[in-house]
Amino acid sequence: MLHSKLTAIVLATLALALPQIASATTISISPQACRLASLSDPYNEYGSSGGFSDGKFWNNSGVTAWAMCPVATIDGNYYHVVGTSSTTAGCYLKATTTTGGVTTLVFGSRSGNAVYFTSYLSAATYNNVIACVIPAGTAVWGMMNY
Amino acid sequence: MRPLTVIVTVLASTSAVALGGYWLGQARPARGTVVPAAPASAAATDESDDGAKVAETMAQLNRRLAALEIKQVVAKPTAAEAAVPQRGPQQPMDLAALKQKELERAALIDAALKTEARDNVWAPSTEGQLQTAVASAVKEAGAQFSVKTVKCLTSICEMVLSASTPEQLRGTDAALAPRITGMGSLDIAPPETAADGSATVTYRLFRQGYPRPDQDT
Repeated sequence: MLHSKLTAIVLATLALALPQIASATTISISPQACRLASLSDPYNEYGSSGGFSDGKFWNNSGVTAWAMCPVATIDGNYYHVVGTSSTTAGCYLKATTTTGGVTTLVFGSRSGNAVYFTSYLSAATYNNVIACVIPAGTAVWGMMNY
Repeated sequence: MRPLTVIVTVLASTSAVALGGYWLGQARPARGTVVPAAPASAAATDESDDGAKVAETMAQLNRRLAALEIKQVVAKPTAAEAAVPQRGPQQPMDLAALKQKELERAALIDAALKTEARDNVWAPSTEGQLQTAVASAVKEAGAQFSVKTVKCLTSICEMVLSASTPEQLRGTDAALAPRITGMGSLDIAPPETAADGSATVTYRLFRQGYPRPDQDT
């Protein structure tokens, strides 16, 4: 009986794991790396007004602000997604070249609480940041590159 | 060793390998699928063998794996953050090749700006919308730049912003992005400073739903 259970567990686990192992790599990026910045001057960070709790990065500044979240990107993964508790927050994927050349801004496409980005840029040549304008009391979370 | 012990040992080892593989797989969902960063829900259960007990065991295993995933994600934010600035040193790149690629992309965009036909409906209204976006940034956000030139065609626009000093062109994207609609992406060239100290920055904006001229490079 014990052996048949073990066999069943092994087979079921393999059946679940194999298709996923064969698929492409996805990165989950914690919003703990996000920074909160002034809406009118994104170089002016609010510091402690941006709070990380419950797996989300919150705007505790009392005013609408930028949430700037650096995102790691894998070569060949052209898609990003970010979750926002506000369904009106505008989000952008900002890609800065490592050569100091052109900066590219990709406009996000919203579906419910998620904002999706499609970029054709080669990850290795860009530093990527997801930037969202988020109202006071709202949060961003769940960033992924896939 | 007794044969029974050998069998149990082999099964246990295989389970460990399979669970490790499953964990890796859970961290790497299928390409093209969008999943939240929240833990995966209890996975589907196999009801074919020992029925409910196996299903329950699987669900427990998946919950534990999901908890481990969350711990891992939360525990490594600094690694994710550090990965961005450190990518350069970690992966030495041929800067000359990168700059060459950027030049090729810029050339394709230049060519589109010279040869693309003008959409006589979209272009003038979009030029007006861009002027309005800048005016709004000046009025509402205290921006200190103005539109020097703006030209739209069918899938692309070029807008040059000017200011008295290069510092006044800092953060133009943050001021303008929330005020621009109907674009899929935009490129911002590095600011150029004139002899008199004034500065300009060139925006190239790409219409939503249209391929960029440099998309396949």
